[in-house]
Amino acid sequence: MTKPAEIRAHVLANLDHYLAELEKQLTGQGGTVVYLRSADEAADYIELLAREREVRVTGGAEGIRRQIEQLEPRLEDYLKGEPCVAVESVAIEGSGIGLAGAAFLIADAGAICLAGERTGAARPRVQVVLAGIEKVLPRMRDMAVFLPLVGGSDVRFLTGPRRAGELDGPEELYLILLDGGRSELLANQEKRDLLRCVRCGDCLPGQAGGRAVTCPVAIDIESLPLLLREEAPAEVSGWKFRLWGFVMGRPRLYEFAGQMLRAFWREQWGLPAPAAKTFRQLWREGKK
Amino acid sequence: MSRDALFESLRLALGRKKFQKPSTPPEPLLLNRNWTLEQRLERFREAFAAQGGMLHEVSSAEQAQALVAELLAGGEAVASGAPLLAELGILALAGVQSGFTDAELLRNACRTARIGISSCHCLLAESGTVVLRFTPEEPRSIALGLPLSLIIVSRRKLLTNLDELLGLNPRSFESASETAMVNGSESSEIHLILV
Ligand code: SF4
Repeated sequence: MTKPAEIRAHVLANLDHYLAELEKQLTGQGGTVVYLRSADEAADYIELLAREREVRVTGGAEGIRRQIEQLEPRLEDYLKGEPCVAVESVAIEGSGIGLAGAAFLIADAGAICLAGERTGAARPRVQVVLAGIEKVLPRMRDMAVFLPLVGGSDVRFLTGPRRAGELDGPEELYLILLDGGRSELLANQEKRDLLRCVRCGDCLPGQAGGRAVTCPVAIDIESLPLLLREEAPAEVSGWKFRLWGFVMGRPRLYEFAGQMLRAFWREQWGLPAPAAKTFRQLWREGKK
Repeated sequence: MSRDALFESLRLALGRKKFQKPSTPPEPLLLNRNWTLEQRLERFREAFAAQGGMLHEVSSAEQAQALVAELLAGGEAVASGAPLLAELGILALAGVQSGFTDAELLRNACRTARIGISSCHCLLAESGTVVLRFTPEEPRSIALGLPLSLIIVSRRKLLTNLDELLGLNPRSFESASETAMVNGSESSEIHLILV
């Protein structure tokens, strides 16, 4: 097994321990940790929080739920190539509440790692981060092997809300840990390994481009159940599909396409977004 | 879902007992390259430029001041409370506002200024990364919130790579509320002065 695979397997086998450590550490640094069952529960929670903080929410709980599913899609949906947004989202008006999806959680530092493009662009008063319970890693130094696996030119480690004397930064930091069927996957020996996935995107439909993919956490991609291995959305064909393939190989171009176009891309055609690769390649180069 | 119910189902799924300690986790291998300062500089120059960053290298406070004045071009800047900036005489330059202790005043200053001047925690040569750590002296809005981010830092802060940073003091992250690792920026210009 590769080192990342070994570490992920160790975390999953002791998940309750590392979640408890993360919770204790982050709470000690002023953060709030919440465990919720599903995207629906999380949406209700966030809507209530917005109401309490007197922040207006466009699209209501339903709008929030859609965002949650994009920020932190279920693992099965992710591996099927469901579109998923990088990190930050702005469904909530003003900069009252910001939503983000975590790339990793680090137990010993009580840290949330966000990785993507412009992850710190919004400066909300209340920062809410969503993460599947499987995303935890034992120690900060594990980032040496895991950070190079994910994309994004902007990496942030949130270790709590703003501290005494700080003039900016979120006044409140919430980490919502989602079960979303993960504890069931964990109970199933065959499926538990899937939770090792760090969402590097390499095996997603369209990303491989014909070359053999080696999963960094040694998930047997060939034998991923059929339900996870659907090809690129079936209803998309012809020139749209070719354009998709072209842009997929060029994350910068996709970034360049502009907010509206990208939203259209995802919602009208149901096409997965390409992962940003430049930063990842850089980190990787360093590893050679 | 209650926390306890989740933990109960996790333990059941994993066959673990309450408060059971795990075995020691596998150690990640940290890559130690032992690059000389010159090697680190060379690599950083290349990687930083590749991301669209502008690197300036100076060898005295006077040179640093002259460079900042040139970038300011008579405009306004806000500066952080990083000790290095005061040592180099940057805070005394015309058009540079600093010494913020009030959030509202800082916000207003950032609305009109074009340049944010700050220092950083360290630099990573291999990837051309600027590592920023936000503290009362180093607010986020000065370091990254303005059209031009000007970061002034000592050559001594140039590390080889992420592995070196993590190996040095992995627990240092908890000492601040946020650490950002920035590789170029699509929304603003980044200039770095190495002293
Ligand atoms: S290659 Fe492995 S880690 Fe990467 S997305 Fe696929 S299953 Fe997950």
